[in-house]
Amino acid sequence: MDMLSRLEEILLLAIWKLEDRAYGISIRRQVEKDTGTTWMSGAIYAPLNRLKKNGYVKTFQAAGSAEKGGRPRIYYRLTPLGMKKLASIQKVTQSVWMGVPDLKKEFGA
Amino acid sequence: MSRKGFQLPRMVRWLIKRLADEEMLASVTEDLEVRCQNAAERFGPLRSRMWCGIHIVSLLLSFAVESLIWRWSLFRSYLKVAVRQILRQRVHSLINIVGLAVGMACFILIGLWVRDELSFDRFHEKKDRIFRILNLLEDGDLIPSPTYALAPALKDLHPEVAEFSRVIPWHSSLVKHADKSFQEFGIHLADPGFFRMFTFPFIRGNPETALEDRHAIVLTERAADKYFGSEDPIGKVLFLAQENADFTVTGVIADVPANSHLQFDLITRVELLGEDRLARWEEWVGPCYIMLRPGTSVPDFEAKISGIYREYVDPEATFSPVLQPLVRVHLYENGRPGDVKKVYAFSLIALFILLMACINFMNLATARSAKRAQEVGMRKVIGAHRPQIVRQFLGEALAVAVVALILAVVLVEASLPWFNRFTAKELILLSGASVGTILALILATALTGFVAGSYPAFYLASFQPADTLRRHAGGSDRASSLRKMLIVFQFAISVGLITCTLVVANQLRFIQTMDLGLDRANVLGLANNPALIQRFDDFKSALEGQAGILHVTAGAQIPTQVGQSIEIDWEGNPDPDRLPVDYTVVDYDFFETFDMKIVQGRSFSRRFPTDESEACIINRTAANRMGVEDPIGMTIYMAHPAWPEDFRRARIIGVVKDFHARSVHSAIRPFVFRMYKPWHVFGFVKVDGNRIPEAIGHIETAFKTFAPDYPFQYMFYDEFFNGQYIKERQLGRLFNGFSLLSVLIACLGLFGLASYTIEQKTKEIGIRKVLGASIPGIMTLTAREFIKWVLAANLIGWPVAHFAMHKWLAEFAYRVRLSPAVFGIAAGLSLLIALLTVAFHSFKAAVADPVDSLRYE
Repeated sequence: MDMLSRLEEILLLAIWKLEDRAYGISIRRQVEKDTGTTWMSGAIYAPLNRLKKNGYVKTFQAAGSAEKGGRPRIYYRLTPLGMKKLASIQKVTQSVWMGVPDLKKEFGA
Repeated sequence: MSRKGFQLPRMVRWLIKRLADEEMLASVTEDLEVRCQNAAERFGPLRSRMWCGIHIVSLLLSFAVESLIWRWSLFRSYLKVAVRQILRQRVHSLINIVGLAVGMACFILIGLWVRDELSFDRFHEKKDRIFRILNLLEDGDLIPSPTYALAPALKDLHPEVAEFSRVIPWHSSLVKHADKSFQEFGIHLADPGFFRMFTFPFIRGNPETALEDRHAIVLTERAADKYFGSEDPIGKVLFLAQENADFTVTGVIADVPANSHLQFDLITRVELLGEDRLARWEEWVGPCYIMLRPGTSVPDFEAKISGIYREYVDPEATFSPVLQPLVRVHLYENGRPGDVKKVYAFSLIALFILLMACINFMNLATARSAKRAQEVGMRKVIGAHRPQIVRQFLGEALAVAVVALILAVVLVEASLPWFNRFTAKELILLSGASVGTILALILATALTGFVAGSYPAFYLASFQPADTLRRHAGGSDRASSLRKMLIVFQFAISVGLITCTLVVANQLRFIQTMDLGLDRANVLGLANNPALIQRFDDFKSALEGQAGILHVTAGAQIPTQVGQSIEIDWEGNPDPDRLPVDYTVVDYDFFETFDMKIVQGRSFSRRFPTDESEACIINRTAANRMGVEDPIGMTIYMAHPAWPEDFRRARIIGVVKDFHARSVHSAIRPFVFRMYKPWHVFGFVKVDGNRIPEAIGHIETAFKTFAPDYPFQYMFYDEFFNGQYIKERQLGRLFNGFSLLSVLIACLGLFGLASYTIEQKTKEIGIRKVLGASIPGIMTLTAREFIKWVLAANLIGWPVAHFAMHKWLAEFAYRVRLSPAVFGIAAGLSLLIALLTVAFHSFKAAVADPVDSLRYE
C-alpha cells in the first residue's frame, strides 16, 4: 500500500502511546510534546480523519471526564491494520536509519 | 462567531460533517473549545474572538484541502486503471475513440457555425433599440420594403424615434481616384443617422458627422487601401461615374465584420437617387432602420404608427409598418423564419450525429460485456461495491471521451479551411479559443463520456458474480435486441440521407438540363456603363460581322433572374383588377441572342422605328391570361410611375414562347418586353462556341474603343446561371457530407458489433466446418442476419426520406419525380456497404481452424 506522511506516522504513534486514553485533545498534546511545537487544529484532525477513513484507526465511545458533565467522548485506537502499518513503518525507518551515527551531537538540533 | 457557549456556528458544523463525520465533529468541537478558552484567558475578549475565528477557518481549509487531495489521487488511480483497460483492448478502443471523435468533430463544427449565425449584428452597441421596418400585409405576409418617405416621416412625427436611416445596398458605379478605377457593386446609400445608430468603429473621421454632407463618402480600410494606398484618404475626392460627380472622403472605418448583415465597402448619401424620389410615398423599395429612445415600449410605438400608411398613402390601405429587432434580421429575413430554419435543422443534425456516436459506444461496450463480465464478477467477490464498479466504467468512458476530444479537435482544425470555404465564413477554433469555448468543449466531452458510458457502466456493474464466473455471460436477450435496434436505427438514418442526396442531385441535374425556353450556351454578359449605353449602337455595329460574334444585344435584367413586376391593363379586360406581370426592357436582337422563339407576330426590328417607343412583346402565358387568341395589335397600359403617360401605352407586336424568367422555384408568369435604352444595364453577346478567344478579343477591343475609362469585365452566362442555384448546390453537398458521415459511423458500429456477434457463433461455425460446410457457405450464413437488419433499416428510412424530399421538391414549380429507383439505389448501396463491413469478420470466422474454435472451453 501507500506510504504515510510523517505527520500521519506521528499521529499513529501518539495514539499508540496513549493506549486507552487517546482522544482529540490528548492526541494533540501528545504530538505537541513529541515534536516540541504547537500545532493548528487542522493539521491534526484532517490527517486523523484520513487515517480513520483508510481504516488504520477506529473510534470508540467512553464516558467523558467530569468537566464535560459525563457526556460520552470519542476515543481513538489503532486497528490491526494500523498496527501492521506501524510495524512496516518501523521496519522501513530502521533500515533507512541503519548505521547513521548520532547526528545531534555533531550538528545540534 | 465563537461564543463561550460552546457551539460552533451551524455552517461550520455542517461543513465538518460533510468533509469528515459526526465523530470528528465531536472531537474537533472539544478541542476548539479548550483552545478558544485558553485564548480568551491569554488575549482579551476581542483578540481571542479573532484568533478563534481564524483558527476555525484554517481548520475548515485543512479539511477541504485534504479532501481534495484525496479525491485527486483517487481520480488518478481510476485514470490509470482506465488507461490500462483501453490499451488492453486496442482495436475495440480505437473504434470507440474514432467513432466518438468523428461525432464530436461534427458537433463542434456545427456548433461553431451555429454560434456564428447567432452572433450576427450583436456588435452594435445600441442593438437593443435598433429596428428594421417591415410592411405587414393583410394576408400576414411581411415585406422588408417600406417606402422611401416613411423613415424620415417617423422621425419628424414621433419623438420616440431617435435616429433613422434608409439603407439602399445595391447601388453600383465606376469609382475613380487618380489612376485607380474600379467598377463597384454594392455601394450602400444611407442617411446621416446611419453611423449614429450602428457601431462601425471609425479609424479616421467622426461618426456623428461623417454623412452630414450630401457628397460625403465613407470607406472601409480595404477600400481606402485600394484607392489611396498608404495616403490619408480624408478630404480626398472619389469620382463616381454613375452620378458624374465628385465625392469627398469623410471617414474610414474598420472592415465590416463577416457577421454583419450589412456588408459594404463604400457608403454615401441616399440623396444620390434624387430628392423628389425620396419624398415619395408610393415607391416600395428598400430597407430602412430606426433607433428608438431608451425606455420606449415597442408594442405601444407600433400601435401608434400603424395607421401611417392610411394617412399618407391610401385611406384604404390594409397594410401597416411593424418593427423587427436588429438581431433578428439575419435569421428572420423577411420577418419570417428564413435562415433560422437552417440553424435549427443543423443543430438537430449535430445532436443527432453525436447521439449516434454515443449509441455506437454503448453498443460496442455492452457487446464486449462477455469479456468484462468475468472481471466484474471477480471484483465483486473481493469486495468491490456496485458504485465503485460503475465509477470505474464511467471513468473508462470518460478517458475515451477525452482522447476522442483531442482527436476531434485535430479533425476540426484540419477540416476548417474546407468548411470555411464551403459555408463562406471564417470560423476558428483553437486560434481564437475563449474561456467560453474551452469550457463548452470540456462540458461537451464530460457529457458525452457520461451519456455514452452510463448505460454500459450500469449494465456491466449489475452482473452477479455467480453467473459471470461460471460461464461467459453473453449479453442478455434484452440487451442484444436493443443493440440490434440501435444498429438498424443508424443504418436507417444513413439510408435516409443517401436517398436525400440522390434526390437533390437528381433535381440539380434536372435544372441544369431542362429547357428554359432560351439558350444560354456561349452567351457572354457585360456590365453596361453610362458611356457604353450612350454608344451602344456603335458598339454593336462595330462587333457585328466580326469573327466569332453571332449576336449583340442588351437588357435591363438577366433573363432568368427578372425581379421587376408591374400591373397591366387593356381594353376589354374582363377583370376589374389589373393583371400583374413580370417585365423587362431589352434591345434589338434580344430574342435572337437567346434563341427565344417568337410564335406569333415579330420581334423588335429597326425596320419599324416606332418599336422603341410603342411596341411590346408578351409571352404565351400573358396571352392566355388575357384570354386572347391573337393579341397582335392590342394595346396594353403599364402604370409605371417613372414613365411619361404616352410611354405607358404599348402595342403588342409579338408573342414569345414561354421561358423561365425566374428560378424554377416559381411557375412561369405572364411577361412583357419593351424597349427603353437608359435601363439597359447588361450587354449580351452570343459567340461562336469554336471561336471564343477570338470573339472575346473583338469584344474587348470594341469595349475599349467606346468605354475606355471602364474596366473590361465579363462573365459567361452559364456561370451566372449556376450561381443562381448555389443554395441548392450547397444543400446537395451538405447531404453528401452528412451521408458519408452517418455511413461511416454506422459502419463503425456494425464492424464492432459484427465482431462480437460472429464470435458468439465460433463454436457453431467450427462444428459446421467439421460437418463439411464450405467457406462461402459459412460466410453467407453469418451475413444473412445482417442483411435482415439492413433491409429493416431501409424500410424505416424510406418513408422518412420520402416525406422530407417531397416537401423540399414541392418548393420547386418545376421538379423531378420521386422515382422508386432512388430508393432502390439507396437500398443497394446500404446493403453493399454493410456486407463489406461484415465481410472481414465473416471471412475470418469462416477460415478459422475448427480445431481452435472447438477447443474453446
